[in-house]
Amino acid sequence: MDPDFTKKAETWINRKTTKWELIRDLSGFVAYRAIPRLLGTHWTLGGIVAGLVSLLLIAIVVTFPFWYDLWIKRDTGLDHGAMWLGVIVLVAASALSRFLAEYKDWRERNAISKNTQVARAFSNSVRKTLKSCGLPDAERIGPDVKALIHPFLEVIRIHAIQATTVQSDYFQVSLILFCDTHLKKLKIIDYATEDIGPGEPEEGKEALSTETIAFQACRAQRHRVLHHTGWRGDCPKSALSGDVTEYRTVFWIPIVHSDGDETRTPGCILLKSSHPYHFIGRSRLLITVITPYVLIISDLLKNYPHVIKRSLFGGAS
Amino acid sequence: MKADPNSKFPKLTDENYLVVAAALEAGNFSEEDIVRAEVDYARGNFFSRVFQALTD
Repeated sequence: MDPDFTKKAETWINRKTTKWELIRDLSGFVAYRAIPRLLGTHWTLGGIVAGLVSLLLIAIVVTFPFWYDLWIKRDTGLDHGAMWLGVIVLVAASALSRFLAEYKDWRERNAISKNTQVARAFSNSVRKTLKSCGLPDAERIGPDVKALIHPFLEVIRIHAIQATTVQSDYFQVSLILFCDTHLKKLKIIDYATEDIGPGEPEEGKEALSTETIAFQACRAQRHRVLHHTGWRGDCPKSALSGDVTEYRTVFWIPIVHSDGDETRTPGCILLKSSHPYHFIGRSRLLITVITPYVLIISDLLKNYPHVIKRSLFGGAS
Repeated sequence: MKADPNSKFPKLTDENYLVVAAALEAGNFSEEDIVRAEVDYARGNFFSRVFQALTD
């Protein structure tokens, strides 16, 4: 473990994105999102070859009348101007058709603000019900409390997949909580699905808080995304990271519970995807959709004793 | 950052989003205030908008 881990992690969590990172993110976006999307494929050798072949086939089909006349009749029968105009019209028609299909998709995705409102309304009703029926005794996270929390991890996972435009092979949501009075250790409590990737820490694994990014995110009460684990920059590697892992993108979301003038943070929710740059351009939209569900989890953990306490005005205690 | 019923809805940022979201109950804000602030937040800065437009 890096001896300066804590300092580096704290700096990384709290600082703003630099211009260099914006350039790097733009490059990553082009490499991992734009090009594969243009080719309609994934970043694998087979995928790239298949994408190029499909583009080539489209080009051949679009220009077929011209090549047919040129090769078979040795004469296109058209002057070059008319021929190229025909090709341009065909390509433009194809592009327009694709644009209209994308526009329909775009409109559907922009209903995300409605998703946020639905999530908030649902969250408010569940939280009111919890208040009137009584919160669970979450002094210890037993199977009963886990059973209450688990469905909301699944809902967060579904929303996170729906709110982004990427198909990833692996997408996991996990719950990490402090597990001792002095907040020295963080423990993996639950995963949203049983599909836990190779190299991922098992449920129940503990790590020293000061050796995790999650701890710094909880202290700062701030969400943060690492777009590509291979391009970490100054983000140090956490003790909860496996050596060989399925995921490339990580999203830390601290659980914040407000109680009067005090906030309590019992831990963190982690979103992990195997697709680099999974959340780019979408992290803010995503956080507005899933926060209402995180608030339900924060209510369920209201009686959990191991928390970082802060006043609403800042300052940890 | 405290949700004061007499004050305007606080501007949401990456630094305060989770705390404000958690403290909303303490304030007396209308649904319109909250939605407006969230839409502003989700739109983000110029680069966020570029990325968003490109990922749409």
